[in-house]
Amino acid sequence: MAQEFDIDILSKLAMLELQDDEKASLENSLNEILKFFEKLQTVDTNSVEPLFNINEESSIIRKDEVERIVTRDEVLRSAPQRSDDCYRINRVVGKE
Amino acid sequence: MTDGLWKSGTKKLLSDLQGGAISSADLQKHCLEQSRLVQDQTQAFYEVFDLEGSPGASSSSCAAPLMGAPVAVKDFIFIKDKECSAGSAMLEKFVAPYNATCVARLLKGGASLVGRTSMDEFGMGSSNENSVRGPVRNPWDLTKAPGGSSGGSAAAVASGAVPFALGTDTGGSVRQPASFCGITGFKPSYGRVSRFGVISFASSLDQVGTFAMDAYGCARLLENISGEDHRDPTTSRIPPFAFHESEKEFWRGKKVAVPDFLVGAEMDAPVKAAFEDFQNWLCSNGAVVSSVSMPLLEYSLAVYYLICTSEASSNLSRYDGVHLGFGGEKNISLNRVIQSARSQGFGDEVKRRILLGTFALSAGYRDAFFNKAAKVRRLLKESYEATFESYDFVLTPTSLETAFALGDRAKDPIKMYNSDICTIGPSLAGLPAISFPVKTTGMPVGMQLVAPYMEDLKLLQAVDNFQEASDGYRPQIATLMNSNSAEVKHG
Repeated sequence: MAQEFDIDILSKLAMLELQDDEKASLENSLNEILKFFEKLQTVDTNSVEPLFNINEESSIIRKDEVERIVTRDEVLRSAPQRSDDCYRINRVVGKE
Repeated sequence: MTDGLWKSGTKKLLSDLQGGAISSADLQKHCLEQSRLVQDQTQAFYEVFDLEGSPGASSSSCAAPLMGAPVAVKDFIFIKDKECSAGSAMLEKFVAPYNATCVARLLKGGASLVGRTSMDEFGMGSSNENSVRGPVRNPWDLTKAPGGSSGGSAAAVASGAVPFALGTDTGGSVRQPASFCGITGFKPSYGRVSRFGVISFASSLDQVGTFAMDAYGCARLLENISGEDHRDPTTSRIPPFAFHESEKEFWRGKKVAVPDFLVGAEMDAPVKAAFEDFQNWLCSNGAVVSSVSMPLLEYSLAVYYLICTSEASSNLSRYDGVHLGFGGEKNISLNRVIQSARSQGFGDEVKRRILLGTFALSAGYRDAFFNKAAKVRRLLKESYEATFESYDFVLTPTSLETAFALGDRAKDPIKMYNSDICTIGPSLAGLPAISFPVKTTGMPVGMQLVAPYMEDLKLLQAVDNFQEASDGYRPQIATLMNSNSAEVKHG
């Protein structure tokens, strides 16, 4: 199975803005790496369930008790932009 | 310069601390000074704390299990009120708002924290050359890589600056640098140590690991940080162990499996020689070593690089320049803020892995790539389980090569990925695995032993037994000289 990356679509999905030289170099290495993955197709996985987590116990719950780990100030200390007790963001409505 | 007060091993160090032969305050001062001294040559640290700013420094008592033991911490693990960069420009100004569970437990156990160590960006790399602040240098040869991604922690211990360090291991990032730097590095069973407060790379693979000169030190550190944590639902409910040494004849009758892909595999001559020597040691101490067919290991690299990149693409989507990372441009839309923050904040390897993971999870490809890899992962795990029905341990070299030169792999990601071939299998299966140095000439060589799930104690006992045996091999500290050269010495 021959796959090819469409670097423009992928970078949009990944919210990455790539320069032209970056695109070329990444596309090359990604296509090489893809060939590396193709050998997996030869493994028979008929009726095998995928393994997503080593500990397959599900619905692990804890007591519904509030636990204060941090203050708002401690969290917002690393905010790129802050406005009082909020993260400040750029406009979301209007033209791109 | 860095003589190492623990040349005779961490057991003697901890016993000296407990008995008062070494004062914890003196040891802390010593380690802070030594860390600054090795920094110029190795670049192992992003920050060495001042004594006043060193968490745990003033409160250690002889009653606490770690008794003031100084520990360096990979900059992937939160220390409250200290910066935590993940080796990335993206988190350059980020300050950890709370202690990771493993750090809180270390401090409760009486440890003191020496500093934050360098790492490959977001855990992605095998040489510590992907750090935004530049590469770390191997204390045994400053022109060579220390391994990665926990290269800073490994170099800090190997150079004699600190006796203990924490790292994280996703596909070998504790074991491989331990091997390259000639020290002991332990990756616990998945779920043994809480990941709360540890920055995520690949959540189904990441584990906090421990570095020390020897298995005893790794074990003592690990027993203090292990255990269920209600803040991390992937932690195991199996109670943590308390380390105790094995019986002297531990290895007699033990069955050790060597995967047959290693027969005839290309490896550096010193690694091949050391691998054969260690197997001979095992046999002469009563173990039975056999070559075993484990054909699925051939696929482990492909499975790993599909799963870890997919999980990473999801985990790193939180770095958006709004909550974390850059921001600050006023006249652009939100989408542009996010794109430009991520483009400026991430290095090439991180971008490459995010794109790979995005592809593997995208509509039309998810089944063929991510789900397929997850199915082969189950088969791999079952293959280890089947092996452990007849064997106690699986043995491989940690790496098929010794430390490579800085710059050697930078332009060849596939060559870099291939260097993980021996460490990846246990990560995918969630198994405990340890790298420990063996006698060699030239650059250090590490062997890797793997044990069944949650048999971490038995694995640590196994290596402790080897390191304590009169015909075993006691790890050495690299001696950094005043100049740019290091003296490569082995006992």
